[in-house]
Amino acid sequence: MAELRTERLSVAAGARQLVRRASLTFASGEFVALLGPNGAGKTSFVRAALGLIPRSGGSSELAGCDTARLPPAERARRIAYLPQRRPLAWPNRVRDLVALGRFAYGTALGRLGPDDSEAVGRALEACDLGPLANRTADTLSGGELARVHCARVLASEAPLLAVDEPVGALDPRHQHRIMDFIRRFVDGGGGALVVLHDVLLAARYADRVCWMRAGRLLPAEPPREAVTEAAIAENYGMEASVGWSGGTPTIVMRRPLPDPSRNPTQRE
Amino acid sequence: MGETRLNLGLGAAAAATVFAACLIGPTELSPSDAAAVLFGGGSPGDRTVVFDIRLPRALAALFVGAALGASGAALQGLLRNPLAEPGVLGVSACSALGATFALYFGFAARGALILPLAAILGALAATVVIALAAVRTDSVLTLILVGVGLSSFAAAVMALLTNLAPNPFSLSDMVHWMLGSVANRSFPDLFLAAPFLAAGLALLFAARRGLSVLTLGEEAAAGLGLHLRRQRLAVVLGAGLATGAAVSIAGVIGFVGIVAPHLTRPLLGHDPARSLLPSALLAGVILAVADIGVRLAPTATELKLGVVAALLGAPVFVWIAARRRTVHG
Repeated sequence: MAELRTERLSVAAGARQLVRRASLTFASGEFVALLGPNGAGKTSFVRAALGLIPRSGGSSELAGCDTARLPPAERARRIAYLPQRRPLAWPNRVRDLVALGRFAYGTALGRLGPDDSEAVGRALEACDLGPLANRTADTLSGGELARVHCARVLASEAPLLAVDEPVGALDPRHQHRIMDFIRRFVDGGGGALVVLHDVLLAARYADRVCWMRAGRLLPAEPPREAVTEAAIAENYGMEASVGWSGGTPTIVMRRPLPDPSRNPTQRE
Repeated sequence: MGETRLNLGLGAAAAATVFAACLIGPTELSPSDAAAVLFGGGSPGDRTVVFDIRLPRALAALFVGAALGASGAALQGLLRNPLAEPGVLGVSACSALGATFALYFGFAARGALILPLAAILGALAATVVIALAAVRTDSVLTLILVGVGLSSFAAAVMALLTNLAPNPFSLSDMVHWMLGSVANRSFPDLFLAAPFLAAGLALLFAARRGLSVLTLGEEAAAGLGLHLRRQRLAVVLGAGLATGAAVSIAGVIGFVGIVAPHLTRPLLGHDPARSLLPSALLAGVILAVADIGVRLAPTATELKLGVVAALLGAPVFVWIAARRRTVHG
């Protein structure tokens, strides 16, 4: 079973602490959502947990191996990463972009082995990209591009997934489709850590939700315990009402609370 | 179009161009004469014409083009923009500066390898500056401006050298380095530069797979398992070695490193990795053909190959720059 375990992980930029002693473990079969206001340190936490940026303290291990010391390709085969910023320099074909997910297996574009082709085919199918496979990226809509990025992450067939804000700037239907892809990946035995700004999506799809604010990470809890009116007020400074009907949450954001009741966030 | 077919076609075109270059000139050679010479026969006169004059010159154009085409394609992949190229980024100018420096302060006389090494040092210095700038900024404009700065600086220092050099130093020598030419190149000139050129190209080809994933940005590429620092180092070193070797043969020849990748990349799914070899071959063919044109042009003094390359390439550069848009982000 694959597992990412961070213990008291800290990240500093100069004198500023971006992440303060954050501990989180997630494993196969779990969908963990990471919530928090802008500047809370969510992205820095994920990057440092994966060993993509240096940490200033603590530890982060993938199945017992320090992520900072794992060779990049070895790490990529254990955990796939979809960053928040997703630029594309060239108008590649969709199939080629998805095939880039196989990079850590030594795959070169135009020379896919049978395993690679199968994984790419499965990922294209999982994200409903079959009909778009031969289109070029510059002809796709934002929602279609989001599916392409999702597919290239799935194509790596890594047991774990770290995804940073996968649904920003997407219409509701695409938001739910992307979350469905991730949910299906987890139901199929994968583990996912998903940074989200949408509390409702987090409450609806995640098995556990954890809050991060001013660099501090709270323990992950089931959505009903983590997503409360008090937590939303404390973390976002928003007055909200939260209700549950069966397994489906309803969250209404009412108004920003007056400033003094909020702790200032660390950085924008 | 198939990658293999494209490469085979361009390889055949390269061979045909070099062969044609052996035929053309004041002494007419028939194809059968030239073939006889190339396969070890032929008259002594014909052998001199082919081996001492035409073949090394044609091969020089081909190799210089290949070095610049591959460097351009690799730098474009690394810096994620289609305007990167040794000439535009000032790498060639700094390399030429290194070479002139070695020549006019007399270092070059101390050993045959000094000149190519000085050219490579100049190229590497510029490539490192560009790569450092590229790490700090995502802006294409910044990189091009850094390149403009490096080119202007190299030109200014060269002008300064004309005043300071202990050896008499003619404007025409400086013009030779800044405008670029493969006239009067001999096999020994090529052999000196060849190991560096080969090492540079080998590095670029070894690192080409990483260029594919860089389309997703450096963060995603690192997440996919690319060793970023190693990738940057390989491309910077490879492009520096290849460009430096090219400049030590022919001086500064610009724009061919932009034009060739721009033409081949769309044929290969816009993949910088797969377009590396065809870009090298096509750039080689372009320069070899342009050099035949230079030799045939009825001008009083022979045109410089670099001038012809710029005349054809600069408008293409402007065209690419004007219609460029990023796909996303």
